[in-house]
Amino acid sequence: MKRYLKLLIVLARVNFIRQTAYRPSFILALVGKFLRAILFVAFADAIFRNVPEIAGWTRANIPFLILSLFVLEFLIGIGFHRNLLFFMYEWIDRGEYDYFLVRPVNPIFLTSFRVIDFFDMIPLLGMITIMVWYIVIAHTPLVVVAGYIILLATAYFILFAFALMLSAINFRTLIPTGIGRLYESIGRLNRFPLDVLPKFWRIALFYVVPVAVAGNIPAKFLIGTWSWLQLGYIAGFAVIIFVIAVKFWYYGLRHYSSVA
Amino acid sequence: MTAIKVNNLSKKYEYYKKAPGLLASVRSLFYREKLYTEAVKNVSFSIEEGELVGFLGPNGAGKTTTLKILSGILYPSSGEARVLGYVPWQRKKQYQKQFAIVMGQKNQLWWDLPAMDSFILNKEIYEVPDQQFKATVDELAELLEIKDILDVQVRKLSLGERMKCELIAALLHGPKVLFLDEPTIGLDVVSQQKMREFIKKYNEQKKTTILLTSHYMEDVEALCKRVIIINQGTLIYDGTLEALMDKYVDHKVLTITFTKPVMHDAIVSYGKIEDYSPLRAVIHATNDRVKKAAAEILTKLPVDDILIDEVPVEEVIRKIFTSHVTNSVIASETK
Repeated sequence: MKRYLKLLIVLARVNFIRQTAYRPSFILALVGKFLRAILFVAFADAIFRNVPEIAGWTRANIPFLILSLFVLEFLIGIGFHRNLLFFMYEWIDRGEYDYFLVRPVNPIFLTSFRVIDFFDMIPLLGMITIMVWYIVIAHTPLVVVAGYIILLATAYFILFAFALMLSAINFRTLIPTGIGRLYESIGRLNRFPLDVLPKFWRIALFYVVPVAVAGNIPAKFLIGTWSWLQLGYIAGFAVIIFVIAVKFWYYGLRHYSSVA
Repeated sequence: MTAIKVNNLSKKYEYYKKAPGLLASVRSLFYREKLYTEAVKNVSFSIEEGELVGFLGPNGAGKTTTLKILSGILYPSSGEARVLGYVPWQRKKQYQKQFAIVMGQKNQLWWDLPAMDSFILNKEIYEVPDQQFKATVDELAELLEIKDILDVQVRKLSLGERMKCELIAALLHGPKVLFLDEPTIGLDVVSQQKMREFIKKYNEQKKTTILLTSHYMEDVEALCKRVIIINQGTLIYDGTLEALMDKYVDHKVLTITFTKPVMHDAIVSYGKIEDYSPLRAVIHATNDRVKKAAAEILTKLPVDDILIDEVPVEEVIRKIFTSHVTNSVIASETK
């Protein structure tokens, strides 16, 4: 664990050097990220000025959902999101992926965190700061905050598992864009309060295949509409799906045929 | 002690036939013909510790596939292999820390960063202690004469400089086994020579087992006492370069320049005439007759200069690659 933490720091350092090599690009990317978050918040605010409540979400508690979404989105963006769903295809296509497999490092780790995106790291810190402020002014009990953090981690691993399974397709056939876009389409459903869906879809998406709603759940726990029992269920689901995803990924790796 | 042991190793790739054209592309959405290619067929060999072995074959022979199986990059279809006692495709960390692979046509260094940053990353990945890292980088950079470019972005380096940096990146952790897949490809003659000298010196000093593939016979002649030749996935020769030449070369090359024009008929009895003009001839004379032929030519004909050369290794290898009997194992000489 210590070794991988050290490796993460070294990878972060190397990536930071690389990303700051072109200063205007770095600054513009950061500005873009912040602007996107602000625009989304402004849009949500505009909706709730006209509508008092949407499926239990009000103007007072919708920031928890939006901020949770962005925290999760930036968190996964720092690591596995683009690595598994966009860059991995390029590494395989260029023949560079061979070098990933000869290193004495877990290949899932190396593939998922090869590029650590500081364009998402810095806005993440901003979002966490705002989230902490909201939690404090809402006088949220510490035990609820602890449960919220557990659910954020759970959501992270559910989305990680989903990304792993999709990326394993690259070992059999190279799909340059489809995988990433499919993942984003499903993942971005988390932007919306999915309680608006009919009962059948709510049960399916919250309990059977909670991939699309992983981001909704931490915020629901924070505002008190998701219980500890449900937390236990979703945490267990996350462990199971992650284990399945890892096995599926290694099974796919057996079919890796490299590039001549 | 045996460093590399390969037993009946085979690798079959499956792929889909892709005909050109728009109509064919649309048709392939509904029906595709699956084809197979046997890249490696029942290859067996073993390499002792410290050996530097050339692994030769024409394009598509199965050399790189074999190296990739031995590196754990690919799984074989069947057969066994052990490198330093480990099964490569199990990808055990203890094995991965003891070998390295350099692929001449692929890049492991970070493109936008100085090579040193990639070295530091490799240092952490391979858990190389700080002192060993510094000593190794200093030593190798000195040997390869690239001390002043370690802080230059990789994308600004020439191919030769980049290959040297690739080599250092691969050797930081002091591997016991080194797979070199065309390390001199695309390099100029000076860089090739330096690379060869370095590999030879490194092998002698560190006793690293090296398996080298190359299309340049100069690499093979300069570095390898033993060669393994593979063609169409099948091992067709495994033995010393000397024995290969003895077995397949039955003649020497006489190159003669004359002071006066000489008729074709005057030299036809000395051997097979490869090239003829009235003032110059190239004759292939059999080994048992070459001395007598040279002596007779010198005494009977108006000779300005005469050269007796060995048949180039390249020609021998070319003949083996194109020969119709190469699908079966021809020889397996001991070293």
